Amino acid sequence: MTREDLFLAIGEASESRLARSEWTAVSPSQKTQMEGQNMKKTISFKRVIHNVLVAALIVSMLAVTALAAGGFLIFDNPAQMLSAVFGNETGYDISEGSITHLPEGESDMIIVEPTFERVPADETLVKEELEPLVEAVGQSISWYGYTLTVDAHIYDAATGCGLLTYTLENPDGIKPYEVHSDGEIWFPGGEPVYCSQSANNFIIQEKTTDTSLAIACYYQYNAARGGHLELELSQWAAVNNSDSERILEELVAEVKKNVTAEEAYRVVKDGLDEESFAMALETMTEEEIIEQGYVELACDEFNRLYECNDKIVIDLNAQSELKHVALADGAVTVSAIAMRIDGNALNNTKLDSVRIRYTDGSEYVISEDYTLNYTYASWKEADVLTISFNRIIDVEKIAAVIIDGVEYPA
Amino acid sequence: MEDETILDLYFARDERAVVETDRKYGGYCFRLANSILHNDQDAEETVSDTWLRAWNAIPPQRPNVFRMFLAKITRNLAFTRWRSQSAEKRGGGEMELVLEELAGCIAASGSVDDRLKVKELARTIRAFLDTLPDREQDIFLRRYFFVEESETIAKRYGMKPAAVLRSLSRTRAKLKTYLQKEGYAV
Repeated sequence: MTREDLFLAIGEASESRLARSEWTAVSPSQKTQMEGQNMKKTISFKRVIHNVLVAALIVSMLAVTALAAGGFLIFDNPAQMLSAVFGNETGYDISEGSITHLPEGESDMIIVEPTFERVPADETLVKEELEPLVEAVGQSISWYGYTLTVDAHIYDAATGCGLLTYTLENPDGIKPYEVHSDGEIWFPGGEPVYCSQSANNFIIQEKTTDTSLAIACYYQYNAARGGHLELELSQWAAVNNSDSERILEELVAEVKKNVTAEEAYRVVKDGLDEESFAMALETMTEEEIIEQGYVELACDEFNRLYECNDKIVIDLNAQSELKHVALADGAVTVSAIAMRIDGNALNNTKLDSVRIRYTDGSEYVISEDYTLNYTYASWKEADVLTISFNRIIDVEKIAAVIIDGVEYPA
Repeated sequence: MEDETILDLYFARDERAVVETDRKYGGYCFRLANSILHNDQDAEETVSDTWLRAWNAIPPQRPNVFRMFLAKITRNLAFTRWRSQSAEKRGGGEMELVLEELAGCIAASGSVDDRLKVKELARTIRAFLDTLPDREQDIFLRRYFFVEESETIAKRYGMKPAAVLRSLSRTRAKLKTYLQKEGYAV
């Protein structure tokens, strides 16, 4: 293998993953998409804007407080929680959608608000199918005035999808956030809560106040990222990203008082592999390397001051499976809250239009044109698409799944 | 014009497909080619070659993400052109730096047995990317697919350049370990 081979191999990354990298830090997660991409491709591009920390791996159980087992905080009981987050009384239940074209020359982007509609949660399904799998978590961590409490959790191993509810509290108020038309929430000043698995967060409006934000987090499990779910308070709980540059500058000034140029130089040299440092010598002056060393030390100090060492860890039970059906010789798996589609097995890696037809002839349009009736979707292993529904469905009433016009009967 | 409409023109063998592709993605592909070639004329020629390749590929292909389909063609063509250039013409350039960085992930010289097909390696790389957090994946691809400078990547994601460099260094170390575990000689 040569370096050229490796460069060419990187060129074979999936198109959806490459396209996702073009999103900037200031773009809302799924509502900004690249011009010309078919709306259906937003399935590929929905993601949470995570901060770029590498959190300390020290888990301090002393700071992780466990509340009384069996108690639900946000809702009175599991059934109420499920009906609320999967039902049609979230406050963000229906939208006609819209498309906004940015002025020519400003960028290549268009802003798309999708069409969607939520439906009531079937009480029988809630009680008989989902409620038995709901677990009370009841763990909290605190950092810079914020308290993160993970309340309840449900995980479906059949599709690798789950939901958890949590609150983010601060007696001095929650930092500014924005809510999209479907209830997805994001923080322009940096996400204060980090989830180790890919996820989208939705506001639980009826349970939110000025000092307590209630969230429904739809996540999708990726084994490559570890066998459990971790939630942490990020550095953006402590500072706004708009202040980070000023703070860093102040820290650099402080570091320069206490660290010699030689020590700063060594920081860079020791922090890079041999080839990288050799390249740095070719492209940077000694003064620039020293300056970078000061910046790196300041970054370390920044992380020490503002990164929370505690985390809430939830083991994902591989036995926790909702009733599900397999179609298309196992290429499609559908449970009450999610579905998984193996594009390779279907010889179809576009997966633009996805619908479920029920036995009574009605349909659940998950994704078609500008209609997006789901909370989160992601690609794994390049061509496996997982979709978290915005409702609960009865898998026994599925007649067929229709993908890009091809019908796969149950 | 929407991508689907442009693709319909390709399928109809209507030459307006190329015109519309150039109008919509000409600048984008030019910037990508130029990031590799650092030469306007070479980059323009690469873009023209991209349209020809696309015309010949569609149909039967109907790209999943048209923009990235074109980006892949442009990148490959630009890289092939870059390799064929003399060392003097290549100059310093970002491409050489990118390859030097990637060289750290593999054996200094490969034996015949180590000359694995790109496709097989590509599958490994895709699996490796899946182990990374989203943002680390993005940074890696901006650097090693799009050949962007670290300052550009930093601006894109609202990061400090030093943080980008550290992320890349860390990811390359992970890649080296991953390739070793997959049986590649590093």
